[in-house]
Amino acid sequence: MGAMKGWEWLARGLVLSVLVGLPLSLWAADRVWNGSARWWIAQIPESGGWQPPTLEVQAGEEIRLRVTSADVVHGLSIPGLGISVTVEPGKVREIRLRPERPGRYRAICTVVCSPRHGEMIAELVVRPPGGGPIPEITAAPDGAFLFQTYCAACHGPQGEGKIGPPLNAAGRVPQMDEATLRAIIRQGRPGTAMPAWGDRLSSEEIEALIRFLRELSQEPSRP
Amino acid sequence: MVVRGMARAFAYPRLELTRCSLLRRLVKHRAFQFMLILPNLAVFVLVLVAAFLGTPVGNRNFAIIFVWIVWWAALIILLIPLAGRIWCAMCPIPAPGEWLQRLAIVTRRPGRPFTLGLSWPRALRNIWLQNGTFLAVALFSALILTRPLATGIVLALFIGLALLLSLLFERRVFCRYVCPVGGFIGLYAMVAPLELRVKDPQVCVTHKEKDCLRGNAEGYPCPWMAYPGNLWRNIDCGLCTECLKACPKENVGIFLRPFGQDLLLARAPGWKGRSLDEAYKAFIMLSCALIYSAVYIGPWGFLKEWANLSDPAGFALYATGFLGVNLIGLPGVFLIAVALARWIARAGIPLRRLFVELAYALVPLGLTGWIAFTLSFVLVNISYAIPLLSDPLGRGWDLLGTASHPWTPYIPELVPLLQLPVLWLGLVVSIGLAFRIAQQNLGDAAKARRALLPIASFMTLIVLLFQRLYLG
Ligand code: SF4
Ligand code: SF4
Repeated sequence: MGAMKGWEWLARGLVLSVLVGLPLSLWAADRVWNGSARWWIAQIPESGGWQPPTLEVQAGEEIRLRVTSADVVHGLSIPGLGISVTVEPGKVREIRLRPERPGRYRAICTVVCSPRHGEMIAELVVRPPGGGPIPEITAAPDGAFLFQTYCAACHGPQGEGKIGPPLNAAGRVPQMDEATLRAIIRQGRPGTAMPAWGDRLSSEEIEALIRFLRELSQEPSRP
Repeated sequence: MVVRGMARAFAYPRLELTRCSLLRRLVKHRAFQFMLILPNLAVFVLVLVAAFLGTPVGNRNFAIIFVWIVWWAALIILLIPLAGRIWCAMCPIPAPGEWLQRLAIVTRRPGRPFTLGLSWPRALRNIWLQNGTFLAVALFSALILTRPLATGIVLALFIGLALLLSLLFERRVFCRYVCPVGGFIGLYAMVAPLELRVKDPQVCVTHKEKDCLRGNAEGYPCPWMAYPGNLWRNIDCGLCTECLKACPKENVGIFLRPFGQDLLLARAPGWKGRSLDEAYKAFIMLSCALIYSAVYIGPWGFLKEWANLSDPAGFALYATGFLGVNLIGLPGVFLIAVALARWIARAGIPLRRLFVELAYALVPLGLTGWIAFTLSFVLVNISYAIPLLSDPLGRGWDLLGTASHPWTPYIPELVPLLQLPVLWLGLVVSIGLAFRIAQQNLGDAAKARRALLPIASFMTLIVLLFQRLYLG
């Protein structure tokens, strides 16, 4: 009986270490490997889009942003921070950044990942160090970066056309006036894959894009 | 051979493994079952943590790969065919409930168990409920098998329900009457060449105290509510070894025996005979193996989409088809085959009776069907387990340096060469078994041979269907 008592206490200790010790060691291991890393998991919008939809950091804080995809290949672009990477399912991609300027930075997917790809939008909120309101970002938008971010997936990285028509000299952009271009970008082209960007791009961004499209369609060809 | 009396109970050769004194001492040790459960409990905890906190990417998550590929393949290819219900002896799911009931993990604590101790309703003392729980889980398999969170929720529900039932009811009613896995393990365990039985049933008849039933200082009363003196089939015993510890006559042992003996049994003392609930388990398992092969391996991508709940109308259609085939389609076609058999053999036995009896002949075929289906994905996907040893939660760790091991399908070209012999072996055994069962029910061999024609054709058709799906 005495020996059995010993066994019982041993068993209780072992069960306790499995039920409590094991999860604790997993937590500890995660601290070692991930430390303070922040995660963004990409899923097609039909399954919920970026998880979490909003990530908050402090201005000036160095962050390790780890991104992965739960389903298909996505791309992560944060135009305001000059970040653009491919996100493959099951692979963890680490980005180190130290955003200095407080503001709300839009993060989007750059690969046509699903029919509702255009809805793959998340937000990186950079809070001012001492708290207080989050300012709107007012830097002049970069048309070339916007093009790579929003348009290249369908129209090709050089505007040579893919799912969408060419936007270089070979296409019809040179014949279009600004109002037409603006309307197409804003409202999209119903009945085609061209989505409406009016609610996702600011007027300044759309103007910057139009300026870039003009440059692109005037160049004879790009290498 | 039909079993008539206790003296002739075991009409097949048996080799008692527990005559080996080391093994006997081991299984008689009170910590034996605990030692089997403990490592599985650890894996189970890891599975739950990975399911709830790990990556949602299925093949990068320990929960998906270790439950649905590693554990599943080990269970269906090795554990059940070779050792029957051995998984039930080491399963962590009912353990917390049982320990709570006993207020002890290894020791035999005397006194009242910690439970309301209700007895299980008579109407549910069969495996109908298990048929239902299995169908419910199987219907959502596409979701559960690929999404860690869904796997986690299902397993957490199992463990929660097992705990709740052990607080309300006496003994392990969850395992015996509710667990969807326990149901089919029991059915297929009857094929296994391993059994726990009494050595001599006559000793039990004369042993008035029946310590195995009432428990004594060495062992708890049978948690599976079996009486070893009348235990004839693996389906009824969870291999917990309590009776082996309790029996003062040393009359319980673990035996090696020829495969499939329980399926040949037609009558035995204390057993009501073959029954419709178990027959349906055989249909359901065979139907599911076929449907899964069609959904996951067949060329119909839309079926997979439907099963995956991607659109509600598609899933509704899939669910209707799935339940239809399981409950009406396959049993219906089999009923026609049995009616034909009865007519050809000019048999007087009621159709319903013959239908139930012959359904047991589908057990080997169902098991080999599942083995073949499992072979189609296990060798191709098992390499996903290697990076998971280093990064079980898919959180970018590299504990053992294997995190970036690439996905490597092993011998994919040989898979059909493994599947076909398995399927045909199942067919031959099932036809042989159908003949024996027909003989038990129709009396003479000539009638049984005639009755075999439609049954064997049905079975062959099933194998050809599998073959079609695997070879394309
Ligand atoms: S205690 Fe042993 S001998 Fe007695 S009935 Fe049970 S198994 Fe048979
Ligand atoms: S018959 Fe014996 S080994 Fe089987 S479940 Fe009951 S007590 Fe356990």
